[in-house]
Amino acid sequence: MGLKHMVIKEMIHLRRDRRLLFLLLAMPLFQLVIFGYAAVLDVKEIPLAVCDQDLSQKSRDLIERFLASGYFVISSESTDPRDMERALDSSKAKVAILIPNGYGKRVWKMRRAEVQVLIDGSDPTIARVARNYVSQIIQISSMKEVERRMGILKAMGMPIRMPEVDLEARIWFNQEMKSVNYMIPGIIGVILMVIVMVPTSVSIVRERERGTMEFLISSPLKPYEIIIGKLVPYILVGLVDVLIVIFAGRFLFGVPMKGNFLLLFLLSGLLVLAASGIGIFVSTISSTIPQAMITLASLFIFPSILLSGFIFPIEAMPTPLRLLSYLVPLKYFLIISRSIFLKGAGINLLWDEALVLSAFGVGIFWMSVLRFRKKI
Amino acid sequence: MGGVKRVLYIASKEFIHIRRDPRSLGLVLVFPPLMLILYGYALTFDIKRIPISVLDMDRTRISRDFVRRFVSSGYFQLKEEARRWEDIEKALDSGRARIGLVIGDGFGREIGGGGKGSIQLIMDGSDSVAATTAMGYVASIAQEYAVELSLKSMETAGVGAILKASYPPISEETRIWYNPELKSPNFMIPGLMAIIMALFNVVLVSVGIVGEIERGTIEQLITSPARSHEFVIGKVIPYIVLTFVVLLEMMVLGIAWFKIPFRGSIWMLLLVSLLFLTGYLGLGLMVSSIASNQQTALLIAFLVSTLPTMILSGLVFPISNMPWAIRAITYIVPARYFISAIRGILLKGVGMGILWPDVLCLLIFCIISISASSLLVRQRLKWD
Repeated sequence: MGLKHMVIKEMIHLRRDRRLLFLLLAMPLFQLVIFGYAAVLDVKEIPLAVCDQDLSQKSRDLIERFLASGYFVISSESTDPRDMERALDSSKAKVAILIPNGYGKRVWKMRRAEVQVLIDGSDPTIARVARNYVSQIIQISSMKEVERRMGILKAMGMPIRMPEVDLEARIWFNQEMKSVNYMIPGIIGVILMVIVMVPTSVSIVRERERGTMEFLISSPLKPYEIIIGKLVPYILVGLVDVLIVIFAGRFLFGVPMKGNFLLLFLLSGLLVLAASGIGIFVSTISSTIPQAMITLASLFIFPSILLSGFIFPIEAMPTPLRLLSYLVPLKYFLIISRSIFLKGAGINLLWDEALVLSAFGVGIFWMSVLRFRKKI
Repeated sequence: MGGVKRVLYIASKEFIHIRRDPRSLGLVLVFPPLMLILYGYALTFDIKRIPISVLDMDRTRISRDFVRRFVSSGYFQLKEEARRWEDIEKALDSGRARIGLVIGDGFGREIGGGGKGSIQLIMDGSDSVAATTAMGYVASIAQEYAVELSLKSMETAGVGAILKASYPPISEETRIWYNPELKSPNFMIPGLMAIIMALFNVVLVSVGIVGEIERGTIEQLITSPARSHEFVIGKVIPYIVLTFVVLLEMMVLGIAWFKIPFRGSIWMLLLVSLLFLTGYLGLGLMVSSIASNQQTALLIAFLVSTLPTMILSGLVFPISNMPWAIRAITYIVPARYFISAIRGILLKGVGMGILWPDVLCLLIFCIISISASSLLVRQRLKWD
């Protein structure tokens, strides 16, 4: 009975705070739109400046390989290196390749040949990807050249065996290979996490700071009732947010929804629960709002963004961080939301993640209640 | 002169206020450097240890050798050895592996006999960028393997010295312009500092001031002869000092721990940091003047600080790829200028001659945020 009144009281509080309520409902969509359009990692059609001083069959072959890769388009062609440098300076090109005079001859004569590559590093992400592409293309050209040379030796009668590895690649999931399809399900998780954790983390500290906590404590409410009462309004708002961001992701950004919508909604609910649990936990261990905020930011928000696999791949991190990432609830949700959106995974594949997420939610809620009781 | 005195008075009062919550003060001084050390290692784009599942139907020495190549390259880790096709499907579906490699029966026989062996690759394209890179790695490993076997066969036959001498036949010499330090992991550290500072700054000041408004203690100030801009400057000074100390801690740590070179001038560094911090504190004040209570203030503070610094500053996502409307927004994200200036100062050692556009933008941001916030504060409090 007490619980019901507590919930109603908190709902009225939230409803009166129009500005907060508006923020809680409008911010997720607003953020999703801005970040969704910003978080694009595809690097295609990189403008390439070519300075071919060799003008041989071999040099043209190499340039052709750059074009055939689909990653580059020629934006300037010249035999003068100064033109190439000017193209980089004026941002007409992001990558420049210089094939020196004598390149073709060296290649024909079975010697080593070198080309020069200049990359505009002012946009680090593009530069990094471009450098990868360039070295892969050169590597493959190089191997093809070895094969050609072997073919010649073989034709000359040398006993050479020339095995080949034939590669047939297929892509599953996200066949359009659009990075936005990968980013949106992640952004959804980050936004939900923040929008629920932040207001709940303040909820109890605020009463404590204002001195209204005494009213609650002297009431016949049990600690868990106070905590649940505090959480319910935010959980409800969080669930509405879940609907908003999932629909926006699906229809605004056209992320394919291969799996079951209802399943995604339910499992997102688990994230909202875990996030509100974290918020309330922070609130019970802090005695002032600045403390709550620093704890929340350092121990929960930063790990959610940096260690969840949202942007930076976990596998590439050093071992201690990889181990730490298991403690980050958002990590499990990202697996869930990406799998449902892109792979159409069902609950049979997502059991583990769902269980960890619920265990986390229940655990942190329990700790908050214990902590809260002790503090009273 | 009375103005300066009033500013200092408000500042000293705020100092006392901050000192009264020693635990918060401790957290502010200790957490950011810790976060820098911890997360400094997380910000990597390297494609490493991609989990693969291998279905080796060939089971010969050659096929095993081939698989070993993948693991020893460091780009892949063997997550499981599949027994049948369904295992590969399951591994990819569940995300245990992101690449399935199927080596057909007869692979070893074909390759060993100098023929064509075929492999099948199934890739999880969810993370399209990583998948593209991984595909490139697989292709070059496969090709290199074949070439190496040929070279070996020649060696045993005692021919082909000419090929070995000229291996690899084509190589590239790559130079990165404007940002030669791109290769070093240090490149991301200044960005991380900006993210951490942005968050702490905005949140600290906005929470501090809204709290005062909520408690009503601000009324006492209004009745005092202080003007709104004096109030704003006085409020901001203690936080500038505090966050400046924190930023310096992180700089020292970055240089001592991550061995970031420090090639530029210390004065430039201090100037840029000061502008950045002041600008963000102004932003925090703006937040507090439009927020109805601390909850709202915190929420807005988080929303305008962390994620935009991360996503819209060009740290992670290329700005030139973004649609024009979003690109326009990135111009008002001050972290963008701060990161580029700090990189310039620390890594390249460049001075005002090159960094003046960044410094100018930071200065403009600073002036706008401080004056806008004093306007807003005045409005909020119905001052004057």
